[in-house]
Amino acid sequence: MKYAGINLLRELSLAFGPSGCEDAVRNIITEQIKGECDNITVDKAGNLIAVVRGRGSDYNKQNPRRVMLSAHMDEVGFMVTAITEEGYLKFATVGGIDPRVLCGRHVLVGDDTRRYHGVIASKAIHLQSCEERGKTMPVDKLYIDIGARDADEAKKYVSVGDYVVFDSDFVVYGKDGSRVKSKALDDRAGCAILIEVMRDLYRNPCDMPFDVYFAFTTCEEVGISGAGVAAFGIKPDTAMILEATAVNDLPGVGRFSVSKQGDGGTLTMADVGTLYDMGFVNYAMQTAEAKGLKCQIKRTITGSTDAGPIQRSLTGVRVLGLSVPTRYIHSASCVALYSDYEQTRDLISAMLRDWKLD
Amino acid sequence: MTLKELIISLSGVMSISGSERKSGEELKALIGGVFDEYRSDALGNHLFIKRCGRPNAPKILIDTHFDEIGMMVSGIKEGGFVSVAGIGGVDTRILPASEVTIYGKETVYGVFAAKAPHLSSPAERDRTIPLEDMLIDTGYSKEELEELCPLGTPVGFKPVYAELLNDRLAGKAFDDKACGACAVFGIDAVQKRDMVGDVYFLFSAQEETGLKGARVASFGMRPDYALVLDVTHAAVPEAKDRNLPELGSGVAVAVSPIINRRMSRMVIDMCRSANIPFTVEPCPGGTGTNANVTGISAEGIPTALCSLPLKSMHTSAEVLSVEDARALSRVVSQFIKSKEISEVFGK
Amino acid sequence: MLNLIKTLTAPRAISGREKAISDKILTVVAPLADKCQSDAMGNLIAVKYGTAPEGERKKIMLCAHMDEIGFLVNHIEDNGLIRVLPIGGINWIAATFTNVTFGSGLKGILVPEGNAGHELNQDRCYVDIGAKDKKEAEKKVKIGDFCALDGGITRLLGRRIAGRPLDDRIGCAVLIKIAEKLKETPVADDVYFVFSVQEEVGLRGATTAAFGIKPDVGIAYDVTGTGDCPGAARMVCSLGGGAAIKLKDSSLLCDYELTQEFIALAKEKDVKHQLEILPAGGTDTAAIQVSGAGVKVAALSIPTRYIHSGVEMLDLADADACVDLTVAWLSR
Repeated sequence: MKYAGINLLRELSLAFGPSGCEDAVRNIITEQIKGECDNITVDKAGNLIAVVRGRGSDYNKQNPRRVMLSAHMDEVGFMVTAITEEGYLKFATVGGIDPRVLCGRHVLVGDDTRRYHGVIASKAIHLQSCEERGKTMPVDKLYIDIGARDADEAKKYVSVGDYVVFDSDFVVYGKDGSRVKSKALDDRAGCAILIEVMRDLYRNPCDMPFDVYFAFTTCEEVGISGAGVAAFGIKPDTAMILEATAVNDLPGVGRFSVSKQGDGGTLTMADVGTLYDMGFVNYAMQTAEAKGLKCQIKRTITGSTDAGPIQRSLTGVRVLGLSVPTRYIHSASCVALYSDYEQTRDLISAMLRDWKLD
Repeated sequence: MTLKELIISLSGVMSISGSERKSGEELKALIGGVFDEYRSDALGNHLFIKRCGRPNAPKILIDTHFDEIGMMVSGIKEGGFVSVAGIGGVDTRILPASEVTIYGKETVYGVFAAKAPHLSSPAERDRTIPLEDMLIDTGYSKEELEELCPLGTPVGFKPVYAELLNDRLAGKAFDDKACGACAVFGIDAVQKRDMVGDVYFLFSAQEETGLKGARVASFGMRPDYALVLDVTHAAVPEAKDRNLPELGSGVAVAVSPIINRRMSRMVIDMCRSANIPFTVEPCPGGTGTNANVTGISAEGIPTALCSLPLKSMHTSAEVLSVEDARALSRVVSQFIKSKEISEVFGK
Repeated sequence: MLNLIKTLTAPRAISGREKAISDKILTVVAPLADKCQSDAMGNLIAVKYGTAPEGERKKIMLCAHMDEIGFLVNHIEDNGLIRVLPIGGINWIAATFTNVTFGSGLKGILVPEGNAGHELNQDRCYVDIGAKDKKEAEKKVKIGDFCALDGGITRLLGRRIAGRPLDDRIGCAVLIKIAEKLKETPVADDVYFVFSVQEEVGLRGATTAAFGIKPDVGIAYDVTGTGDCPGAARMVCSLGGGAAIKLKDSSLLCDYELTQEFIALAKEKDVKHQLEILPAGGTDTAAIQVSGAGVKVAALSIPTRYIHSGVEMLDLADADACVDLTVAWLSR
């Protein structure tokens, strides 16, 4: 079953789902997990939550322990802020995007109901001054061209407040098709892992002394995440947050990389938002060693994830951060190694099936 | 009282962040008559409730913040001078020569000291003075000031109001008490039998210091859905490329990742069908308002945000259009009458 | 007080790795409390029940943080030198050319690169444990281990002391002293002594502790800056000026009425005190204030010079004043 999850990853990463407009992703996941879990709900913050119940002699049916797995559905993108007289769209970023990856990109403009093609235009190099050529164009100087002749025509299709995401295809490349390239691998890779783990647990049940809650969350990329709301409703004892993390393993980028592709899932000790539970990290490393799975430790304190709001919800939750190392995240071309995806998925599965966190 | 009068009255009530509780009685006397119940809490929030009279009705939260930016006495010097620390985002450019009220044991009038232009070098005149280097001149002795306004005493801009052309109003603390006045007017205009639920009007504390009041109040009351009202920057000549709403263009309905998408659409439809003038305000990140915290409070509270365009925010010369305020009060009325919204987001 | 502080400053426990100090405090506080427990994040919570009948007792949360700033190992070089990342607000100038201790007890020194000048940061500093090469270093240290500047206390003139980490083991000591006094003279209300985790990285432990306790009143005890030495920030607090009753810091405005109550009580009971407006910095108080449906909060600070260095300096009389004022307030 090599590359079994690749179609899932393809479908999820191509879906239109900027922060606050995750409907398409939620619909795909709902379809994928129907009949693969014991219950599915959507909460008031738009989080999709599925449960696989525990069983066996150690399972306390009245007051079961709860393990939460979390991955965010939303992706970075843009929002239309104005329509110019000439019919171009001005825009601002939704989530953190490096303006250097924008010029010349193909995009989709719209929302959960309708979408139109467009391009992020920029002046041709011939028309740029020497000074302009050496500089990054700031986002407020860029505009999107959807082909409209003027403002009135543009307004027939697009409104201020509409969303924009990268329009990027899903490519499998490299030797033996080992790599995938797509937009939004952050965090559809995490979503795909949750779905695969859920199916596996539900189809091949084991004596599991806790319920597993799978939370597909909203608005992570804008920092006012739905994950805290999800945790508040679930009331988990422990939570594992699945992410795609930056890699920075290219030649010449400095003394040390964040993580390395090919070394398996990345465990985080600390990032800007969270200090992760040390016992939990050790448990993950021990499981990986016992099962012959690769994992690595993230070497920088950068970024933040849903682990923050989950850890600090209620009276506190023990959290683990595990990520698929992904190059060029938050761009139209995120690149991940399929083997890292598998290693991450299998580690989560192994931890759940033979739970030994004290 | 007209809406304009209520805006002016509310804006004159002292409410520097952190001292909201002090004005509870004054506030109740002004607007309490519109409501059935009043509550306060540990943060100094003021919560007014108007019941629809039906059991198990949805709880609708209307939030505007009561607090305003200001200062606090941080030092008392020889010669009757007082130094201050800022509370919330104070625009220090406007302070030299501005008039303030020190809310001590007695109300003390003061003027921010300003060096005469004749004595300042051109370089000095170009540079704004950090707040910690500024002094307020009070005309009392050091000993008297230590008794009258000890460290921690709140300091605010002296209330001054003016009616400008075209039904526009200039003054201080319209952020966010103009919206408070709109909410009260909008709620008062609706008969109880027309309300689709119990209306919880939260005049919240400490928005300017980190959205604190609304965060705890919404957690405590657990409304079914919410409408947050706040001010937004209106178009001004020096920010032409920011695509800000014009003063007089009606209310600004926010569209943002953190705002419930379905609800903001319903509010837009509501404005259209009730002929309320509006613009759509895109907020690609957060909103900088209490909507940031109500939406993710407890189990999540679907929240919409409508804003009143305002010029020169956080100064004592804020300018609003009363016409826009009327539109905002109509949004509140429509919102608490909306069966469509209640059907989707009520119990 | 001094011996207690020596005991409390001995363990190394950076944010997120507080077990050593938590274990130590537990042995001291357990005999003084009715119940001790820790939560998922590692906060240590000791409860002393009040004498009033059940249902009439308020819940008072007293909070001081156990964690200290420190470093996380993220890279071991071929020559055996160790690169670290900061946890909490590290002042690299104050932190370098000093001894550090790892969680395992291993010793090392933190130094800047030879040509680093004064522009110090994590990329220009390293820890030398004396290893000959990477292989030897890896036997002793692995990625993810932590270390912190060495602890210890020096007595200066009068009742002044210097050392680390007084931020915020001094607050922990104040809590323990209050617990000792309540053991002798019980009060009506339930008192929750919270030794919180992860304050230095964003007031995180107090957030969940307060949510669980749902206190009626929360009071946090932490160090605060002073304006009494050359080049200090402009603020009125001074060493030896008494308990600093906080009005404001950059994280919060304390409850106005409750703060006034403390000021009036300090005057009435003749407890030496001063008022605090901290221009930059936050404390657990802010996290307690916005937990759940909101909590009335006050904060009593211990004025401290040279915070986050190895020579944090304070006057024990100020800490005593915090104890006295709190006991007076609890017994009122």
